[in-house]
Amino acid sequence: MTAFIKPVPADKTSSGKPAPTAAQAKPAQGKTDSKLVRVVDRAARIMDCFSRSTPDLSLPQICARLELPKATVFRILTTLVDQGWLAYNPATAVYTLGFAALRHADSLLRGLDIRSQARPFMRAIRDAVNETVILSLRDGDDRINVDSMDSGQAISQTLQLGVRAPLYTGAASQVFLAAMDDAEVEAYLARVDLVGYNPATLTTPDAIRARVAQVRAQGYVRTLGEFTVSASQTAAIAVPVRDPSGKVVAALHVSGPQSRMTEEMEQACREALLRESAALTAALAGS
Amino acid sequence: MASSASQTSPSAAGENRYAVEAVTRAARVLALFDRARPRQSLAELAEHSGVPKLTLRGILDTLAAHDLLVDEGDGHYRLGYAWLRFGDVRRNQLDIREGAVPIMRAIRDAVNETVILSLRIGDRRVHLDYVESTQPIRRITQPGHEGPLHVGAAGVVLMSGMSEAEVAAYRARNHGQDGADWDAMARAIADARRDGYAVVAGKVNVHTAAVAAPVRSYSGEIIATLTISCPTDRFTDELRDRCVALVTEGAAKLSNALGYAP
Repeated sequence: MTAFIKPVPADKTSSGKPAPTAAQAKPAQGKTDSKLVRVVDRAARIMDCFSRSTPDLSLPQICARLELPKATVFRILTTLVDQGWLAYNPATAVYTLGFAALRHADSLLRGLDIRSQARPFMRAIRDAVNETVILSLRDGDDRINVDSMDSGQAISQTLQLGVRAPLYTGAASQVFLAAMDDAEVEAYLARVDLVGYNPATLTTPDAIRARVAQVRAQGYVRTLGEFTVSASQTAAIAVPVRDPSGKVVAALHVSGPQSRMTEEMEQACREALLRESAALTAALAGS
Repeated sequence: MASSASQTSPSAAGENRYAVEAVTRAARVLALFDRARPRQSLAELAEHSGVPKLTLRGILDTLAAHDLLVDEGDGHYRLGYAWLRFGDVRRNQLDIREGAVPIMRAIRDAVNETVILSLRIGDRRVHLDYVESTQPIRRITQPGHEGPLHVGAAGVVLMSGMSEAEVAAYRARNHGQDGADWDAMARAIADARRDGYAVVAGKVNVHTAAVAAPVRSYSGEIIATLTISCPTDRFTDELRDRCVALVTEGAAKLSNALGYAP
């Protein structure tokens, strides 16, 4: 099994961070022709302009965002279109992400052993509760949702994959936090900047310590929209996925609108999650 | 200015007079990662891309700084999580209807029967769009027309993508429906899984026949169906076979446009 979790030592948190902003982005130093790398850096920054809220961008919009001259951006854009990273619609003069985005995402997912191993168990959870089921991994100080299985319901959470969330907020994140030993938790709290995404976010070290203790005692996490921008629309219940040695290697969670998360529903989710996560551990032992 | 992008040939990057070499190299290096080779070493990447190691190292470091690549620390690299984010944005943005309409028109022109695009919403099959036959007697429908999943060719194909547990849960939720023939449904689903299409004649309505095939997303999940529907008295074995060929080919083409690679 390939290593899908790469714990980052406390003193080395700069790797695997969220995509750097224009101001943070720095080319690799002294390793090769800096000009060559600078243009790749700019290409990556162009890619980072595309998001769910801005999926279509024109040349002037991209230039304005990056504060780069048109000629420079245009040459990179045409290259990215050639390579399928971006697509260009001449009718609207707008760029979008290309099919390479889908292909690379698919290759990445298929390269994650835990993802294919978890799929049947995710499906079993989804079928049991008919809500969206999400698989998350830890990467350094971040949690990343890597796969989801949607409920067939008309109102369901539109979850973004590949987005990084800090470890202190959200049910799945707190699974990974609770799996750390006390020294790791303290080191994490000492280096992390606690940001409130909405009123439900835990923003004090004490609140987080209390949550960690609670999660360890209960074996699961229940949260109400701690990471969503508009507070309190969603509810989530998360459990750890352990490898046969007991190490937490992933988190599974069910997420749905709070309106559907009745006490009975919560219990059903908890039971399905705990049952299938244990079954997944057993399957990992056999692989 | 931007319009000149469309004048450059996508297949011949080297001839694009605007192409930036380092970016082309970066893209080609990333394209070396696929399902079969999710992890590769610097040496392998250098060998397969033809980019000198020193230059390559700089490109890889830059890509890793943006989460497009992960340096696993043991000399190996894999694709970075940013691709999940980009894939998600692209997938979220795909307008299935936009891709489907030209394909549906081509099918209609070939066979002159009505072609329908449908998807699943909860326990219902919903028609999203259609291209109508021009024959005086033809299948008519309208966008938004819905029905239960377990009857009709489109519904059966949508259900063929469900797990057994999901089908059982559907049955439990819908057990009160009058006249539902669950055994026939199970057989139809099994046939659709085996054949990759479903044929239903005179079941939903004695006068209509339909042939449906699955449309898959980039991840392989069945997300929609294309259906050719016509009056039963025109539905000869010959027409049936033509419809099967056209609709499976059309659905495969649409799946492909949505990023599905079999």
